[in-house]
Amino acid sequence: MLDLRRGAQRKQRILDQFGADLIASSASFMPQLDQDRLTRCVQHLKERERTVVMLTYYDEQTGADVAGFLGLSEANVRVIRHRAIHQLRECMGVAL
Amino acid sequence: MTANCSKPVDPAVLSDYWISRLHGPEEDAVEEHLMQCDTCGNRLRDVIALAEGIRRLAHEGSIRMIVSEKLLSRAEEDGRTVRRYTTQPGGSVQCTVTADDDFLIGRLAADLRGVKRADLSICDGAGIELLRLEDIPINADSGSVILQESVTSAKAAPTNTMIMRLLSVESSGDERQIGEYTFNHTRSIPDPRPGG
Repeated sequence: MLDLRRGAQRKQRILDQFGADLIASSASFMPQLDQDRLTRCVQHLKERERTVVMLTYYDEQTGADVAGFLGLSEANVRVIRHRAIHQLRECMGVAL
Repeated sequence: MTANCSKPVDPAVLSDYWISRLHGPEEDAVEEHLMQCDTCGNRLRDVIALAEGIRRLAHEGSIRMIVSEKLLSRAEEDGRTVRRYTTQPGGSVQCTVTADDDFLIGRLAADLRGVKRADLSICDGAGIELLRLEDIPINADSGSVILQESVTSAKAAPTNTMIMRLLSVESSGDERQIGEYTFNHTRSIPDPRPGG
């Protein structure tokens, strides 16, 4: 729980520095991202990549937690996560 | 601040920065760069938007995927309603989904010891494969696979039977069935269509 609180404080600090308007108002934030398109992009990921990104970004599970669940090394999970992020950005049409 | 960046930070690294996966000098270096670089600051905003979009998607329970028990616990902590069904190999279960459900979960009990790669074949009531989830994440020690069905699709689905086959796939391509699971879904949400 302490980690979660620290994580939230840290994210707020980053947002204050680099874009407080992004999440402070979800109404102004979300239209920038086509959620339907993101759904399709996530569905196009391989099973392992999809699970890794969902566990990572929703539950904020650590690399060790995700690695433990998948029976993989943390380094392997990092590679999968990075590959998935690149694929999602490309699928979403974001300049790489 | 610079508009052009000679050494742009990889978006995946920025993503790691956002979710606190960088530590020590690596984190400091990214932070220092961001303080001076508009290009990477903008890229960070894109990455944050993507990360938050993924979080929202997971929160909705609308993606069919393999999940962990920990993710479901998190969903319940967030106040989400998780409907779970557990089946043994060769077993069947009567299931439904209500308007109040946010997550629909099928736990497929299975002996996964020695399994290197597993596919999940999703079939209709006659056993004809409709879709295959290839190389699903498994943990040999867990004794089960937790499938999140799209709650959005399930709420719209008519009464039907779905058969799921968990398959071990050898490097030679040979398949061995680990278990077959039957879900008899009864629609409990009124169909909005006339006569539905």
